[in-house]
Amino acid sequence: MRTHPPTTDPLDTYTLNMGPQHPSTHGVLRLLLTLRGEEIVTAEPVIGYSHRAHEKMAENRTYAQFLPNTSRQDYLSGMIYNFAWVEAVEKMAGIPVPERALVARVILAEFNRIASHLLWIGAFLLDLGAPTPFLYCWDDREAILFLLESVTGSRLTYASGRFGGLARDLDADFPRRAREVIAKLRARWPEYDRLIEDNVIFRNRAIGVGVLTRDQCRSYGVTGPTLRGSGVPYDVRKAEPYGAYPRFEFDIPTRPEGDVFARYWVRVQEMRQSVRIIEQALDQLPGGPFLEPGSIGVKKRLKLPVGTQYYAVESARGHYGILLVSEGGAEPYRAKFRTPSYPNLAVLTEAMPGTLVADAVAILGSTDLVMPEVDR
Amino acid sequence: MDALGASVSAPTEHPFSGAAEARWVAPGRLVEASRVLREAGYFFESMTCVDRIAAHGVFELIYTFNRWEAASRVAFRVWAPATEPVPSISGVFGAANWNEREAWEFYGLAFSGHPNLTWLLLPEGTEFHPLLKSFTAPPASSYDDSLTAPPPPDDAHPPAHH
Amino acid sequence: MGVVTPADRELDALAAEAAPFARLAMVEDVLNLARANSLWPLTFGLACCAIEMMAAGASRYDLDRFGAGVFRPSPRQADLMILAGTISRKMAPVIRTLWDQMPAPKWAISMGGCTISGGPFKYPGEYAISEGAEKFMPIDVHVPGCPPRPEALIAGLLKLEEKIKRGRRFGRAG
Ligand code: SF4
Repeated sequence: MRTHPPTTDPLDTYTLNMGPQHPSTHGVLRLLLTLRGEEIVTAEPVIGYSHRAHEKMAENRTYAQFLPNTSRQDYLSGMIYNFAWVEAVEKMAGIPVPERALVARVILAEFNRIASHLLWIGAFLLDLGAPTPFLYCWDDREAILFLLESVTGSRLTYASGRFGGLARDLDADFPRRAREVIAKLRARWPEYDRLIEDNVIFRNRAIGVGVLTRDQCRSYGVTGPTLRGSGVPYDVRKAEPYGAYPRFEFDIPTRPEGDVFARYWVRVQEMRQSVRIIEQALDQLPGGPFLEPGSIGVKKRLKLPVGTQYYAVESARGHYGILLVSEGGAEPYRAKFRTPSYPNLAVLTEAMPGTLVADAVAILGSTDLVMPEVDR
Repeated sequence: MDALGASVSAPTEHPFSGAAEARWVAPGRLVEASRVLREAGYFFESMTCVDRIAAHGVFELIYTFNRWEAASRVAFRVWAPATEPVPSISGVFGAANWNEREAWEFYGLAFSGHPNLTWLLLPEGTEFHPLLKSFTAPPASSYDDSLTAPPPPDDAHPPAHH
Repeated sequence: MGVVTPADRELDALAAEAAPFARLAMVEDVLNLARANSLWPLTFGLACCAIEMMAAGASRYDLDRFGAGVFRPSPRQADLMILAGTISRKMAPVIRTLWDQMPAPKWAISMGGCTISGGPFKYPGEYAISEGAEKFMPIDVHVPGCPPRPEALIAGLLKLEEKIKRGRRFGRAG
């Protein structure tokens, strides 16, 4: 990959500032690149342009009041984040959840995961200069958003989890509409394969580019599809099963290469696994209440017992952990959000040097960053 | 890890759940203890700083590590006096680099041996540590000065040249 | 917005001088019509709302129908700034710089609660965000919501087009 012999002369290099307003930094990331010719010598992400103080806000409001914040941390898989918060609190407070709500959460979360991956594919290929897949992916994504909106009332920033269940039930017609959406997605997959995966330009820009080694991933705590593209079958849904996930059969797609193409491939396969989970869940969807009768809901002030708890889920980007410290009050004493994009971005300081500046965009895009989630 | 004698006895009764193992580690043994985990194939999961100054005059640092193969979360809890720097483990786990910078800017807790201990998320020149329990937000004007200057004249229609 | 500058006065004088022979206001009207129907927004997302802005530009909502689908990555080529997302204290000076770099005539839409007033992140004692874009730059149209639906953004855009067509100096044209 090296195009020039290494040199230590500082006059030999120059600095390129990418962002914070740059079309391919996915929001407000700033990258300081030191270049020698076209080769990247160092890459230093500058973050914080989207810091919104979620962690401070968590200390200032009750557990229920914080619900809307959760989906705004990662607005692409907001449903998963929302349920993670609800489940973390439920677990600490010992609130039971009815069966129907558990399975419904899986359905909604997996649809959200597919929507997130679809958006990523579209935006990522747009970065690589292919605008067509963007239009297809967003069309599919809109179908999912329409479905989720019919249940939760919002398109992006969901707050539909409640301590002890859900805010609203899935209506009787929901399984039919869900299956329709799935049929639409299925019909598109062969098209995506032909349009993207078999595309020579895409393959040349993705294969062998931006390799993340296992050791780098371990040192930085990289998780999610980015890690699975490096051949590690780690998925919180399997490693520490939560909610209704143990009941469903699904595989963890992995690929050993660790390059941009591997990360793309893993996400595409993951959408198929999500559909597999949704179909099983729709078949098994039990009846009964969607909110624990007489449960706390959001109105009453909920108090958690004194203690510290770590709770993790698999978001569309990887391991999302919530560390809750309670001193027995109605507000968390401390809430730390271990967001997956944070290490996935940090690792680029090691993965980028030695690559070409044209690949920087491909590598950055392939890690699927959501900046407000990095900055919190 | 026990052979290291890295763990100290619990300075407070505060239960920890969600981890296979949670142990108190003395700040001085932190680097050794995390190196043991690094060599045993653990990855860096998270690091949290908790302000316990009002009650105990210290910060509690919670590091969690995990394994890909068989999930078994290990949590290190460190009782860090507010005035003494904690040894940095950024040489052992790359992820600690940013996490320690974050604790530094949010709490003012310094780390010794850190390669680049500067603000991570807050704007340069910020002079407060917002996640401290004793923090009160300064008035908005203290940041927005550069922005309240009047906008330059509207040059919508440049002078016509004849 | 709407400040009468020396350039404006010169133009007015010119129009008065030419009045017996030509109606310059007509030229201005035609120009405004053209401007209103070919807005070039700056590609610029800050947070959640940016996703809805992208959705407005994508297949289902198709901003191109209103002539505003040509998102430009450089402020030098754009004449519309759609502020979509939370403005952090760290980002605010950057936005101001971008705004100053855009060539006039230019317009701004603030999309979502965050850019209007700080939205859900505003509370007594907050330290991280700038409470609304209007603190440091002029805004033509506010589109409330958290996030506003793409339809809402389109409605805001149509309002802006209306404003441009009437001449941006209210009370003179139209
Ligand atoms: S207004 Fe709401 S949706 Fe828009 S950026 Fe702010 S929090 Fe996100």
